[in-house]
Amino acid sequence: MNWRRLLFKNSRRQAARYASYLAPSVVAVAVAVLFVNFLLEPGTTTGPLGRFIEALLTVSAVVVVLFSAFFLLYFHRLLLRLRSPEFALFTVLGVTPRQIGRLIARETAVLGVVAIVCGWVLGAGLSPLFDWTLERVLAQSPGPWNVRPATFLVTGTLFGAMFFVDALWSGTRIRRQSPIALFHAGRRTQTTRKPRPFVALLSLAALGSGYALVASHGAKPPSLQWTLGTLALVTVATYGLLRSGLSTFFHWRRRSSRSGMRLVVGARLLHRLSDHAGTYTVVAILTGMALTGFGAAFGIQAGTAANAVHVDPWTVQWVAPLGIHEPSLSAGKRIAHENGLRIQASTDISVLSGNLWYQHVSADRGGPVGVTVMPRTVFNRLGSLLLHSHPHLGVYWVPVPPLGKREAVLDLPYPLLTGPLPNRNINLRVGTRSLSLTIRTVTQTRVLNESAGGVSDLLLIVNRSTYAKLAAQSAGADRWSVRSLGASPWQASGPTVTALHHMAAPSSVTVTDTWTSYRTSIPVFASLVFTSGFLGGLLCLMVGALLSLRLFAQAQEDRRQFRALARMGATPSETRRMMTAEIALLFILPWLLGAADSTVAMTAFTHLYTMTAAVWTAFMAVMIVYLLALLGFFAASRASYWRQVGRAL
Amino acid sequence: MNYTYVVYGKVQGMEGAEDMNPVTMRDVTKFYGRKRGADMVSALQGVNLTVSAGEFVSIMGPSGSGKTTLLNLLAGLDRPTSGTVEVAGQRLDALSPDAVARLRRSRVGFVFQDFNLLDTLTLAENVWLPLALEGHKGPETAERVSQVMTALGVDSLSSRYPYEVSGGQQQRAAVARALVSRPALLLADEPTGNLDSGAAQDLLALLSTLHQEDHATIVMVTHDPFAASYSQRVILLRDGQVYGALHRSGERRVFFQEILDMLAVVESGNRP
Repeated sequence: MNWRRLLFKNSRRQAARYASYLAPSVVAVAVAVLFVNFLLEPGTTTGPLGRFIEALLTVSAVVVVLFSAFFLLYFHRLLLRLRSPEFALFTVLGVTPRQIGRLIARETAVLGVVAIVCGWVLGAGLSPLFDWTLERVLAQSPGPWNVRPATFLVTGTLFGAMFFVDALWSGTRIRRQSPIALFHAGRRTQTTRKPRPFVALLSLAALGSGYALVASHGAKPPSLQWTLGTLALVTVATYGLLRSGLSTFFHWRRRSSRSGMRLVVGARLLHRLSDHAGTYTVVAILTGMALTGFGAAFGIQAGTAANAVHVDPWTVQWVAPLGIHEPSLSAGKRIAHENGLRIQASTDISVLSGNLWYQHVSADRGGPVGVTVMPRTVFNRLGSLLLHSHPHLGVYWVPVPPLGKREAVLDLPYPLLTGPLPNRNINLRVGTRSLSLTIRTVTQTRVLNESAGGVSDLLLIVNRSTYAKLAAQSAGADRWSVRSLGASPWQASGPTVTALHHMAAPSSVTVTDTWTSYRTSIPVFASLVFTSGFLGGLLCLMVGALLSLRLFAQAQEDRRQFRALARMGATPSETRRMMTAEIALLFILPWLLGAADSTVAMTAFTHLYTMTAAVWTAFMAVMIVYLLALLGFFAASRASYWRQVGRAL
Repeated sequence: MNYTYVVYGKVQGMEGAEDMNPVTMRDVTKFYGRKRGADMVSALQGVNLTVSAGEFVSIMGPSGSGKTTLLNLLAGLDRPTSGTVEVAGQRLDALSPDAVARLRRSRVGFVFQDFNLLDTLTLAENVWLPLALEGHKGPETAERVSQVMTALGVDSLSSRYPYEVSGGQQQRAAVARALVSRPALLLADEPTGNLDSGAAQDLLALLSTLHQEDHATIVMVTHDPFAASYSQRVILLRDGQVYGALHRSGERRVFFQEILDMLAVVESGNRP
């Protein structure tokens, strides 16, 4: 038996430790393979999925790689810390620091190669499933079920570089430590933290401020600086609260008389807070990110139908220059009836198209912008008809009150995409007629479908006499006929829409409808769900592995303590109960914090996206699934840990 | 107990250098913490120590007196803040960390209080480790491992894993590991600290035999007067300084009483 064989045997018998590092590494490589392969498919960049999904997946791939790098380094550091006493012993026996460094570097390189190869195999194996899922979820087939050679090259290079840097860095770091430091690294001396109620209160106040800041954010997408700033505030406050708040709490619990086991649990947790606070914070923030991302995407997806109704509220609407009579409203009704739809509302109106610009504002901000002009009474009638078909649109609906001659209401149905109005004084030109008007208020109600042909969905609502004057002086090209049908169920309106498209095809009539809007948005929203779900799953896996590894890092110390407790008379079942309570806290507390973080983030999100019921329901489902996954990790870790630690009793 | 295997015929690498002391410390100080900082702790102050070849020396002292620090310096596991440490004629401060490790590999055996056996290897493999490090293999090496384990009474446990045997048996295997490469110096840090009294006595008798019959040079750190009474000389540390020394001149029981008397003096705060 030689040194290498002994080392090999030593490594082989530590397979569980290596597995806890290798498993997330393999999964990280496999996930990267799937993502990169999808990105490299020509269909992704040139196909019907569009630039949005391409950008989304590119960003996701970067996130996957960054998180993978972070976790791989973190896991490896923990693994090396677990093995530090072993390295220290080797040093005492005469292994030179250089040999130790080389040993670690080679070992890391071997682990890296194994992780990359296994990741490739797993990724290639999962590729058909991934493509099948994409096909089902996105209703698109991204390409053949095979992994492109370039995927192997890209992921191999990326992860190869990552493992190479890690191998060099880890080897050098351990080599530079003295044997004494290595002995201590495995059983890091920790001191019991003193109670710091002031810091705890300060952290609590900072966390509350962060939450208040996020929850009170208005109906505008946050800037990157704002997002990073609040994230940093919440992270620091969470860490402070965990470190100082928990120490204060456990000290307080110790003061009041507690039963023996509770006292021991409190004392042990208090002793380990320095270690746990950092892990708890990382896990809580990652959990918050996973829950928020997946919850929001799932919420949007769950609200796809409602969103389609919001964007294109009329089941079918066709717009044409005034004077073109086909298809008529009655023809539309007949087709709908023939296709089994029930007509709930129908209208045939005329509107004007014009241009609007803001007074005293430069052209780049002030316009002119195309606008559709409509009398107040027509706007209100359209609104009430729509509410009859879709009562849930009532959350947007605000009837316009009587207006003065020089007053108007601007209907801006996509406030997220526009900034605040430059001012309320505008000029309106319709044909040869120009008017100066003051915008009295801004609404967000859609009474015309989006992209309704020649007319803009930016509406200017004026009173009847002003509209009459404008209409009188408008040219034929500025006058439009808008015919709309509200039918039920709109989900079955496909044949009607197709028939109307056919009828309108030769003419300059534009047909828009809810069904097409819904069909078009499915891939976009579903890809959001898919991507965020994928990333959420990956984060959940990483979090579970991280917590498990953190738990097993204290196995040696626990074995000693449990043995001491047993000598004092603690029964194995008491010790097991105590261990269960601690592990449960390790897994559940970060989830609770992450859930609180993400609930606040979702509250802010619902300011941007009004389908609150759908979003919250989806979010709750995501939280429960994530919790169940963590409970699975908890149960597996607890059983495995007890097998390892309970052996000593 | 009858130990038939001679571990130390001659001190390896010391042929022709009989005058050379295995251990010499000159004016050694060791500080922990930041220099001139409020949290700086003095572990050793101006310690001078010489251990002759074939001598069995115990280092005693209360907790925090610097016993383990002194042993770590002797093993080259730590470096002194000032002063020099020579082991087997080589100044450790003049050697690179790699050279110190090589010196430790060939000249120093170390026994820990908590054994420090690798749970992943059998007892025989643990004993084999230092030889494997030096590139020894084959039947001769296996025979050598077997002989040492037989000498220490753990040969029947060679295929067991450390967690499958008792603390006393683990410590015997740890001593076997320390001796198997025939080092010039055996360092033991509280070797009986984790053993029951029976196992502790067995181990001490074993060390005594190694010293008397095989002329092993042993430096043992202990706070147990009974353990120290097995040695030839006891050096007492207090507050990082050599407080006093006792030489054994007769029966072990008498020496044990002398150690107790010296400890009583130390506790009273007077110089012996």
